[in-house]
Amino acid sequence: MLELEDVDTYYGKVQALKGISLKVEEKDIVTLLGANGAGKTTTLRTISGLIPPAKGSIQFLGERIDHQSPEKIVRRGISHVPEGRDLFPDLTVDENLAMGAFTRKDRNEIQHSLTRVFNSFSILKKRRKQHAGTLSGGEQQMLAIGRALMSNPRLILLDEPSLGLAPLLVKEIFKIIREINQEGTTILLVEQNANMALQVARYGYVLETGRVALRDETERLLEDQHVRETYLGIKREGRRS
Amino acid sequence: MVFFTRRRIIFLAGVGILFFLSPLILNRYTIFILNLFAIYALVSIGLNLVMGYTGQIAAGHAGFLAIGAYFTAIVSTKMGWIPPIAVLLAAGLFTGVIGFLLGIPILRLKGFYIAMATLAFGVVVSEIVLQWSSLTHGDDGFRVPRAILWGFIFDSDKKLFYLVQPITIGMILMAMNIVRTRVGRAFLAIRQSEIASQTMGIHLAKYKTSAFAVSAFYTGVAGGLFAYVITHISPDSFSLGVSIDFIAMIVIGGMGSILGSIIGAVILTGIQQVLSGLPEVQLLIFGVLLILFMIFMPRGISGMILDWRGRLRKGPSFEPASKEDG
Amino acid sequence: MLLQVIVSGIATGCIYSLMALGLTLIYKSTEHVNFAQGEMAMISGFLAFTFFQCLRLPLALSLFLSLLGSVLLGLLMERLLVRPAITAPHFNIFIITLGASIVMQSFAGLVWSYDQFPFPTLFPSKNIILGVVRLNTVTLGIICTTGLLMLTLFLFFKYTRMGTAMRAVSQSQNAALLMGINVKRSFALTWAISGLVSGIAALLIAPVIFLSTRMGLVVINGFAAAILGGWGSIPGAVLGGIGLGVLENVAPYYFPSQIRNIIPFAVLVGVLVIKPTGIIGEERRRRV
Repeated sequence: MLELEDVDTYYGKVQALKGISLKVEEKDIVTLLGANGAGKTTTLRTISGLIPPAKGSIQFLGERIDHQSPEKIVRRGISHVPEGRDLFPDLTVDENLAMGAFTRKDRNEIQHSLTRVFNSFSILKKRRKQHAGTLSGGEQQMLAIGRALMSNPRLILLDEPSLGLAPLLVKEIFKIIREINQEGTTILLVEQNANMALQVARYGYVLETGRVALRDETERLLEDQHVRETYLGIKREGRRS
Repeated sequence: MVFFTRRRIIFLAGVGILFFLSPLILNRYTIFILNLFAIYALVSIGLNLVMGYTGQIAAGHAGFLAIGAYFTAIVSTKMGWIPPIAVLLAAGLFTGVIGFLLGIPILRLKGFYIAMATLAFGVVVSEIVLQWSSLTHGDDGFRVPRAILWGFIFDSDKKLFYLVQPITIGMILMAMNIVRTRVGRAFLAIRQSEIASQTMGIHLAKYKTSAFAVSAFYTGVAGGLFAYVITHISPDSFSLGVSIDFIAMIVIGGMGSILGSIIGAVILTGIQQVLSGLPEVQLLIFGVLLILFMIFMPRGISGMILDWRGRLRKGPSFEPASKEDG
Repeated sequence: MLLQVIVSGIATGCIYSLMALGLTLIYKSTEHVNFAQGEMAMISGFLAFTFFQCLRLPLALSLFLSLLGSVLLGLLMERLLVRPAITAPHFNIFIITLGASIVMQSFAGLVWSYDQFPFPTLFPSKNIILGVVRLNTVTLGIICTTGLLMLTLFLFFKYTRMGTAMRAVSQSQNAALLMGINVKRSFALTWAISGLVSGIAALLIAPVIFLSTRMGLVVINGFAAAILGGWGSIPGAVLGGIGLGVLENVAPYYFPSQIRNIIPFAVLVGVLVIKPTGIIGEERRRRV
């Protein structure tokens, strides 16, 4: 469904991505792991069109989307939940969700999506008229994901959904991610919380300093020594550090 | 920094001698223009210290010019025995103190607010000058007495040349010195990022207010010279439009560069004089130039020169103007 | 008598509110400061004058065309002046608008000269007695038109899809892009609306103070009003405008009349020294 081939991305003169190639199959959950600065967020931003790649190609559903504007990419069916949520703080929950559906015209369909979002995130229903900036961290994350769902995307790019959330909420969010995937949406997940990411995803890429260092099914990644030490904090003895 | 190499000194000495002998052969109008160039160059340098170096938008420098001019005019009239150099120095210091005082409340403000505050300052000064007619003769204007130094009366443009130019050159050298030192680099750092410079130990308040003070000093002295050269000053010469002209000077010439200040002053004064009968056209051209430079060449002409020189040879040139736009 | 003065102060204040509103709209959505706001208004007024007086078009058509002109002017400024410098620091754009204001002023001076011109009133001049106050229909007209315009804008921004999108853009450009919102078009629209608001302000005030190419200086009152109310806040712009207008009209009552000229600057200085965030005091946090 989504294929990156040899993508280079620069921030000014600094090269953040060096020859990234990855694939996401339809209905899959794929995760991108790596330390801070490894290039995970940059990869997502390159896919959604916020930054144009300097080299390489990005294909989505058979068509090239590199160098297209973000609004066109949204219309093709990719929705990006940015790092730190990036909600519209002074808009209400309702208005944030409405903005999510900006590219859609059919009122009935939009209402349908809205209902589904409130089903998945029941707590948001109570806070419909509240300003997004006044919500708690967990609620904000739910709103961000809900907002992304409102465009009825084929593929969702999730950037660090667990950031700043208590462990219980993290579990809840990942449960919802699984549900969304089961309902048919493909997910590309960027996470620092490697443990949860590897449990929910089927395939994983490990990025290190802008390159793909490892790529494998998550089952095998969980067994990999390097992954266990560096990203799961499990020492050779098997004890958590 | 090896600015003054042997060859350079000889070259400059030659140029200097020619320059100082020039009034003997140039006509009155040209000398007058050269004097204006010098005066506006001083203002320009002053403004650049605040805008180009520390990055605080100052839209009211005509106010400092007015303060310097009227101080000089009034003191020369009431206490004519004081030598002009002393009067000018006092005018500069007086204006400098006011600049320092202005800089203090401005410390709390950011960016656009500073522009508004300085703009208000400029207009308030001009309004005070207009209203306090007992002191300033208000709308009628003030006739400035001639400067007299030890019996030598500066009653012609040619004679004024020898008052204006040495002072100007001296102050330019002083400015070059300031920017080359830690102080100058601190100014530049502040323009790039106040927060970052703080983490480097640069005491923001001290430097920002001193920038205002020095800037006002320069503009004040320029104001005094302006009074002597123009001989008849009135509030019209210090309006908001004039403050904006000054901004145009440093944008076109190059912010954060002393050479740029001089270039900008020369260009704009030149245009002003060439089109002296058509103030609207002048204004139109200034505005267009301001826009074009800000869009396409934000570092001004001196920025262009630096780029060009950088390509020819690597090495320190006039001033280390910031590489990025501040 | 004082009430009378206050009411005419409110009318003047409405004009300042419109100016402040134009400035605030642009600032809120793009963080740019448009120094040329006043000149945009002035050109609009002169366009109407040219259409009506020189080309002898009917008044309504002249007004409509001039408002169209002010919208186009806003779009033009955004396209030609702001967009090329979009990645530059805000400082640069401010200076560009400074340049634009000079250009427009001198251009207008060349085309229409620096004389003052009488402008036809939009409302038939009559006096109404409302209790203690003798109201002029012009004053009433200004206040009502402004109120209506504000209401329309409020409804637009709160309840329409495009209006909400524009609010979204002003809160996070990044997120707006990811929603599929065309941020560039949103900016253009903001400038267009801003131009329209200034244009209306000009048409309202021109009959009262005569048309002149120096009219653009009213932008300073606009700035003072916006800062007084709280820079960056739309209700602040409205409040500040009315407050400034009332202050300007009431002060000559108790102080020598020249004080009127200096009020906007005194207010500016006063607010910046005492409470820079103004009455409403919205503070924007800077990300480091």
